[in-house]
Amino acid sequence: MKSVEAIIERALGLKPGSIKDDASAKTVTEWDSLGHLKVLTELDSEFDGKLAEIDALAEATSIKQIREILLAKGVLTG
Amino acid sequence: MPMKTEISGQEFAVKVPWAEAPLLQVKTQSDVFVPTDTSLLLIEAGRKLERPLGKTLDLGCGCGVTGLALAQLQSCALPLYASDISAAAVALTVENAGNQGVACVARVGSLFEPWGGERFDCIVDDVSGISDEIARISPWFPSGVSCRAGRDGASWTVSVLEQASKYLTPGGVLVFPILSLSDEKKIMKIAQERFAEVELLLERQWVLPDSIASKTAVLSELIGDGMISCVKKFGKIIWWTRVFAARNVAATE
Repeated sequence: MKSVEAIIERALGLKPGSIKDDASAKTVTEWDSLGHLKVLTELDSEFDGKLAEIDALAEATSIKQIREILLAKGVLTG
Repeated sequence: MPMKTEISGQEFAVKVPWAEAPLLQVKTQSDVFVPTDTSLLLIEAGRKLERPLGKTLDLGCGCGVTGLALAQLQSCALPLYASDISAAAVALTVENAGNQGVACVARVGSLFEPWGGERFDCIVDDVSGISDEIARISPWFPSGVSCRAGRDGASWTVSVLEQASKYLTPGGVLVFPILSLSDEKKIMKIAQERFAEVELLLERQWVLPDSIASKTAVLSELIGDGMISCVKKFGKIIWWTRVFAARNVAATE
C-alpha cells in the first residue's frame, strides 16, 4: 500500500517526495477544487472503492485531515 | 490539464503545463461563452492526438481559446479555421487570433453551415452539450448566451456527429466531448453508427456546482428519465466529461 502522500502526489501529477505530511490545499498549488477531486478519486481507487461513501472527505483538504478520517473509518490502520 | 486564470472580468490567461507552450492570453466579453473546463480538456485532448493535426476547425469557437491554444502548441496547420453561431464570438476570436499573431479564418454560422465545400484534417467540437434544464440553473450560460441543446443536451453534438464526415478528409479526426449532463448513451450510439473508430482520449470528473446540486428535484427527474448521469461520492454530486476522437476511416462521398 502506498503512503497517503504518494497517492496525493500521483493524483496531482507531482514528483515523488515533493510533498510533506503537513501539506494541504493551502500549500500545494495543484491542490485546487479540481485537484481535490483527483486526490479523492485516486485515494478511493487505491483503497478499493471504500471511500466514496465518506462525506467528510469532501472538506478534508490536508494530509492530516485525510489521514484522521481514514483512521477513524478504519480504512487506514495506525 | 491547462489552467485558466482570470486577469479581469474581460480577460483571462490559459497556461498549458507543457514546456513548449507559452501563456495564452485571451479576451472575452459578457455575450460570448466563457471557456469552461471542457474547453481546456479539449486542448489537452488535442495534444494527445498524433501531430501535426493539419487543417483544423474550431467548431463553436466562442472566444477562440481551444483553436488558439492548439495553434500555439503547433499542433495544427495555419490558418486556423473557426466558427460560431454568435457573430460576437467570431469577432472576438478574430481579435484574439490577431493579438496572438495566429492566422485565422473565422466565419459566423450554425455548425457546418459556413464551411460548404471545405474539408478538415481535424475538427474540434466545442458546441453546447448539456441539458437545457441544467444550463438554465448553471453558472455557465450567462444571459445572452444560448444552450438550446434540448432536454437531453444532445441535439448539437448529434448534429455534429451526423454531418462531420462530410467535412473531414479521409483519415481526418473529429474530437468531441460527451458530458454526463447530457444523454451519453444516445450520443455514443450515433458516434458509433457514424464512425468506425471512436477512441476515448481522456476523462475527467467534476464536482457539480452548488447552484445545480441544490436543485435536487430537477436533477432527480433528469437522472430518472435518462437525460443526464451523476453519482454521489465523497458527499458531493460528481459528473464527468469524456473526450473522444472519431476517425473518418473511409473516404466519404
